[in-house]
Amino acid sequence: MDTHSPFKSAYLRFLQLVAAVDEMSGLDDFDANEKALFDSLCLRWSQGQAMTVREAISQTSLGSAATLHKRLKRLIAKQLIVATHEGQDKRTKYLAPSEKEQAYIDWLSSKMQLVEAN
Amino acid sequence: MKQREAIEGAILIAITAIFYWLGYELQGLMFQFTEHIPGVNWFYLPAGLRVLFVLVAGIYGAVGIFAATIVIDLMHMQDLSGVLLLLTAAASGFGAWVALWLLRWRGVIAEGLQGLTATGLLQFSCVYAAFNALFHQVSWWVFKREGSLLTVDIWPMFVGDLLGALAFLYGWKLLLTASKSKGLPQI
Repeated sequence: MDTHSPFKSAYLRFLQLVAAVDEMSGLDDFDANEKALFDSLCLRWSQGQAMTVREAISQTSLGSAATLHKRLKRLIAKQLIVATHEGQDKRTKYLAPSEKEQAYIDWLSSKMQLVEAN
Repeated sequence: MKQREAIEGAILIAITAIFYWLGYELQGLMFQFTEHIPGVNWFYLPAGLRVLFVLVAGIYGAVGIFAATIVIDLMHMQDLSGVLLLLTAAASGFGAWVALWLLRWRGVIAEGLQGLTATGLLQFSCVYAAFNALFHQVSWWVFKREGSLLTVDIWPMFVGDLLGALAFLYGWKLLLTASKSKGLPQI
């Protein structure tokens, strides 16, 4: 590619700038770290088991317990997951998928099918 | 090939000059109340255009802003003339360019902006705001612009440019986020 062309180099720099602006923090609804935690919960749900809060914050590969707890609270606040308890035992909380989460998974599935079809 | 480069460069200069002038007029319409003294604002939205144009178009963007500032100053700043007018336009156009040059030299920003990070972008905005305020105020102080006080006016100008650049970049990010969420379910 002829990068001496002012138009082309301006366009390439513009693309780099868009990526940097996109990366700016503070307004993201769903950052990469939250997504990693969310994905681990999705994987467990796909196996038919709900993860407990204790299990979720014990995933040391994703971060410390305190950090994961904060991320978990953010995911709950965004209504992507819900924390429930079974029966009278309120000590163990299970993380269940929300309707929003289901819609997100459905959307991802439809996009993957589209890519596969193409 | 050289001729084509020259034509493309001239077009980039013209585009940046026109949009910078429009940005300045918009600033006057919407944020006139933030004016500290003529030419110094506590919030200066076209600062974001300077960041955009200089990062994307490099020297062509700087020259475009310089040209537009000459026209703007002739239209709106009757007290600026001659060398002072040229220096003011140079500070406006080349403050960001010098900041870019400095950050390239420090290895923060690559020539083609490859691998530019959000941190690098915010660093550039800060350095640009500092240089812009410094160049303007020193020029006005040396040439004794009436009503200008270097040690006082440099701060609102720095704050205005920085806030304007950040507002522009975050506004842009909001648009990017909104355009993405059109295709995504709201999360």
